[in-house]
Amino acid sequence: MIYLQYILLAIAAVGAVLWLFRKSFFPKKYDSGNCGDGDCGCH
Amino acid sequence: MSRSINVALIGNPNTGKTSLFNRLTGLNQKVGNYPGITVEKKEGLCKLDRGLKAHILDLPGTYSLNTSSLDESVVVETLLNKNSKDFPDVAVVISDIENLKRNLLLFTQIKDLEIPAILVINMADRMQRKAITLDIELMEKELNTRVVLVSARKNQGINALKEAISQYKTLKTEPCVNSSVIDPEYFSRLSKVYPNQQLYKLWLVITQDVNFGKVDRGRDYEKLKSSNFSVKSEEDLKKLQHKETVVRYQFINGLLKKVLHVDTVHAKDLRSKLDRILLHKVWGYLIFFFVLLLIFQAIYDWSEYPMDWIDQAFASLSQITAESLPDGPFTSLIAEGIIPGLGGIVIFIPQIAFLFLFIALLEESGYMSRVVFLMDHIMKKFGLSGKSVVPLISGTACAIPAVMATRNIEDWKERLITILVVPFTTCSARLPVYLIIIALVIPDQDIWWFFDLKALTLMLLYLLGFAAAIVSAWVLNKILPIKRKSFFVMEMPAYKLPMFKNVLITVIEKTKSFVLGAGKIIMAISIVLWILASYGVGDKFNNAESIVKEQYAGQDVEDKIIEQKIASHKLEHSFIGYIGKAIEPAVRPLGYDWKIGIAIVSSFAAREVFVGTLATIYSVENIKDEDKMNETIKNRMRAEVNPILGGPLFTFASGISLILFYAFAMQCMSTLAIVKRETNSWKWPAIQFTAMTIIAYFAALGAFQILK
Ligand SMILES: Nc1nc2c(ncn2[C@@H]2O[C@H](COP(=O)(O)OP(=O)(O)O)[C@@H](O)[C@H]2O)c(=O)[nH]1
Repeated sequence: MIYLQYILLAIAAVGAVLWLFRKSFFPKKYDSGNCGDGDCGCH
Repeated sequence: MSRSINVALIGNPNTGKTSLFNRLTGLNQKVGNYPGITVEKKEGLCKLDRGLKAHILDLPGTYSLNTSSLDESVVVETLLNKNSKDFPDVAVVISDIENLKRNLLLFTQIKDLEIPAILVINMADRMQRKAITLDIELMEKELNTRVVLVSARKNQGINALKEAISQYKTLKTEPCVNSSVIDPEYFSRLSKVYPNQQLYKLWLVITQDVNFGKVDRGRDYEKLKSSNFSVKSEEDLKKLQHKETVVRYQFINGLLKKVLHVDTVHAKDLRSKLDRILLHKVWGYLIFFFVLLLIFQAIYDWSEYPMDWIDQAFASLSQITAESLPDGPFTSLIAEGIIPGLGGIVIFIPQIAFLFLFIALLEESGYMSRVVFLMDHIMKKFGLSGKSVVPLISGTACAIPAVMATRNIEDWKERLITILVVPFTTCSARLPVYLIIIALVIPDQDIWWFFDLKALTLMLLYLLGFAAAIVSAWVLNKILPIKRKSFFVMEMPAYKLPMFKNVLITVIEKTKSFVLGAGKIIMAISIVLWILASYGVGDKFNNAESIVKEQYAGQDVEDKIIEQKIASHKLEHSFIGYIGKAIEPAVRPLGYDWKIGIAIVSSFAAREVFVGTLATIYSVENIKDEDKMNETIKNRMRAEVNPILGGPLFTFASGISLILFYAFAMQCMSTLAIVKRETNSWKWPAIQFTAMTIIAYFAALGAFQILK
């Protein structure tokens, strides 16, 4: 059971880091989103 | 089989284009961007009679086809490029009954392109009150097309409009103004070289280059360019454009004289009375100031209760999660990392919703335009334009849309300066940071019986943001070696009761994008931070327990305190502890400890992460302390002790210093990215980042050293 928890933890950690990495270095192209009105990946 | 036709909605800004678009399409809308440029593209579907479907394209608001901004050139492009898939079968030109004269300029231009065009006269609901009468039949005859009176607000005339659209094939396409009178000689030459071309279209294509370069106008244009037709000098073309406008207004004046009657005596002219007060040299500013004051007071007072509930709810949620899930590192991550981190965002929903509620109300009511007008000559002194007020005010939401909102500033220098200074305004991401620090270091007190000292502080911070923006604009205006050329079309819509639906949509939109946009990042950063804070290497981390116990051996200390000391020791020697320690020398003179150092670094991803980070870090520190699990972030931060000074970490001095740092620092990667896009070089964002960080550091340093 405790191993499962460690595995989940590792997945969460790797996922989070990869996601942040992608978000900062390969930001989404703005022309796909609803720009000018808020959600432009600005947060 | 259903057929589909292309309908383009075109009109001056503020004629109710958006409202009409919403009426026609309901929720069948899609918002995107034009390829390659950052102008918003709104499309929607509308069902007409007999299985006919209209694909409606809401083009950006424009005053004429003589473009001077990116938004406007999109309109021209769409209308000139017959091969584009967006080329309209019928253009619906929207005008506002109270601004018909100006609105008709655009209509005559479109009509002259020989595109079937329907004239919509919106805001018909105001006719009675303003004692306006209009001879529609005569107007249809003079303009050679269908004219439809609608009220987007009252949902009147929409069906008649749909009917007119579905009969688009019956619309006549003769021009209203003979464009060759602009310069008969030149036009006859043109028509000799291009016998089969429409003259007005050629004329537009030629003059486009004067106003605006590098846009794709389809094959006809390319042919014209390569043909080397003797083009007039820019100056001459400008003069001719001016002449075109005059010719059109002559036609319009003649027309309106025949069809439009305003009974001025019976008009209940609230507008001019209100304008006299709201635009007054003294009262105008005073009223604006009080409106702002009221807004901030409301943000503070009204949202206090929901915020407290949210704070408590997240604290309990953490506790329940920890108790009900099986013990283990993942459970701890959820209970101590993710939930408190998210709580730090959700708690600001009430305030952000209130802020946007007010912004939407001001915009909808027409007051915002008065503010633009009021501020124009002040702004000019600082190298900004009256139109910079809107970006600066939207900057209170987020710098990204604000930077994008500068696109309608015609003058490049004014626009660049606005872009560079907008990030100083207090964006919603700074709000959480301010709120929590104000709660910690500003005493609960009322001033002048009514105003809460905390609310006043918040307002001062907003004013400080504007002041920083304005002062740097002034400096930039002096040092930037760019020439300016600018004219300003002042838009003064009538006063209106805000439309509930429009306001609601804005508030929901903005709040949602704040929560969703920020939420994801917060979640990811909370996970990383929690792991960095919960794990470490080396003896000092692994043997934390024995080290601390040894330290206190023989002393009479409560178990609870020992546990806390162990947690603290662990945190200090965890991964994050090392990172924080590494930055500490740089932030110590500002009055911060290494924990705040970490929070500052992590907020470069997004400022609002600051609160989430602190919540995570402090939560980790209290992990072993069951009683404290239930405590709120605020109390935990308040209990924090400054390692250097001994007293509370958040003293008045360090709190103010931190607030100032956040007020001035450019801590948003996404803003830098958008500035790069809008200025087309890394030079400006780099300058912006460096300058703002230096200013922030020294402001914070100064404040702490003076106040401590
Ligand atoms: N009285 C009245 N006001 C309207 C009508 N349609 C729109 N408005 C108001 O006009 C303002 C501008 O509308 P909006 O749709 O944002 O215009 P846009 O800038 O052309 O997209 C808003 O305050 C609307 O509430 C109408 O039919 N009657």
